[in-house]
Amino acid sequence: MVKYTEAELSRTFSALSDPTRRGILRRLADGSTTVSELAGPYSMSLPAVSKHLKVLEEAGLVSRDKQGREYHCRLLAGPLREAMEWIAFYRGFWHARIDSLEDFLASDEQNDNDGGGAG
Amino acid sequence: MRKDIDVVLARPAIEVVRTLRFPLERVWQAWIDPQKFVQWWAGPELESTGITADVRVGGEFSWGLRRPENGDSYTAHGRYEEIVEHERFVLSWDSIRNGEAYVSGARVSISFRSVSGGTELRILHEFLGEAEMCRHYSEGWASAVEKLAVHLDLDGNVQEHLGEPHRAILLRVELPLSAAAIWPWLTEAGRITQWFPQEAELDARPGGSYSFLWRRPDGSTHRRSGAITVAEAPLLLDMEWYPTDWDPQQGSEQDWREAARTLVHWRLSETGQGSCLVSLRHEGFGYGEGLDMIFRGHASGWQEYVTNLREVASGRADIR
Repeated sequence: MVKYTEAELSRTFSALSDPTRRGILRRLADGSTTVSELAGPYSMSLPAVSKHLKVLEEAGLVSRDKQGREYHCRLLAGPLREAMEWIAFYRGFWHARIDSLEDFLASDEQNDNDGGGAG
Repeated sequence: MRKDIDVVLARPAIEVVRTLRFPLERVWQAWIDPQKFVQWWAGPELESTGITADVRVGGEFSWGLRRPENGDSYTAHGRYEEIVEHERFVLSWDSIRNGEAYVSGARVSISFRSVSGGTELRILHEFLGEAEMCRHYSEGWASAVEKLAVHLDLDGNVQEHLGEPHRAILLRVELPLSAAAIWPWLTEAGRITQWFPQEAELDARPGGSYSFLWRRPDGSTHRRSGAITVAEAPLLLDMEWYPTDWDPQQGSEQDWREAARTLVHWRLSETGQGSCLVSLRHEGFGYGEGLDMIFRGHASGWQEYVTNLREVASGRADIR
């Protein structure tokens, strides 16, 4: 599996931080499409959409191929997988920390009841 | 897979909400009282590799964990950005996973709410995009740092902000090297002595110690020593710093240590273009008779030494 560097991962997340770009990716998750189709729901000019696509392309999230007279865009899953790993890592991380907090609070309560926690 | 894509694309953030069967005050204290926090953060499966928490707005934290069976390590570090008593606190959150930075520039908000049967704990861990990250850092910089008494940079700008209970020396320098190449300059005796004291010992582990000895031209010497509190090669190094010497006639050694203790934080962050920012933050200086002189002396001393670090690490002449 490709190991993404910190800089690449940060770039992926920066690309994902914009709601329009996330909208574009959601659309592409349903299948590849043309730039003009992508521009449709955003009431944006083609150059504005192209600008967002360029960010996504630089982050390795989207590829653009010329087919005939139109550009076709396709979602690339690699960096997204890394972003999902980030989410999965922290979900597990926070649940484990809270488990341990609960254990601590329970044992601390025990100590308080025993009078050991006084002072 | 499709479901995870939807999560990522909805917002690059994780929210964990749990209800704990304990009163809010106890849950709050477990997070905010460092003596309680160290007792649970690692939990039974992990071990702590050093936990520091300066619990005040602008204060830094560093929480290190390690999994003993395979050696995996994870350290979170950042600042307390906001603290609303019994309601929430917000952390800027950078992390190091197995020795490498792991998605810098997140924010973690931890909120507390009394509910029937206990306390609802809500943890929102969000990645901040580039624009927001810049704003966030500049705000953090403005709120936490600009309040501090003196802000120096290597262009020689000095700003004074008086009236705060603590003040710090802040210096930042960019070196044309990787963090891994700079790290030995901060931690290896043979390198340290090329830009800083004439003699050095340093054990770059949390709980390790260092001792530096300067020889003045007149033949006299002075020594600085203390503990290493955080060491995460090649990105973080925190050390105690006692700017004065213990005088037995002024009281016990322990009283002197408590009053005199300051902290030196080194932070290395790579720019992605082959260079690395080295930040020094020396904080904990009080106000009072004699302390202004100590503070100013350290400010000009660090400026000289950090300049020298840049010169020597870049292969130029020692300017000491």
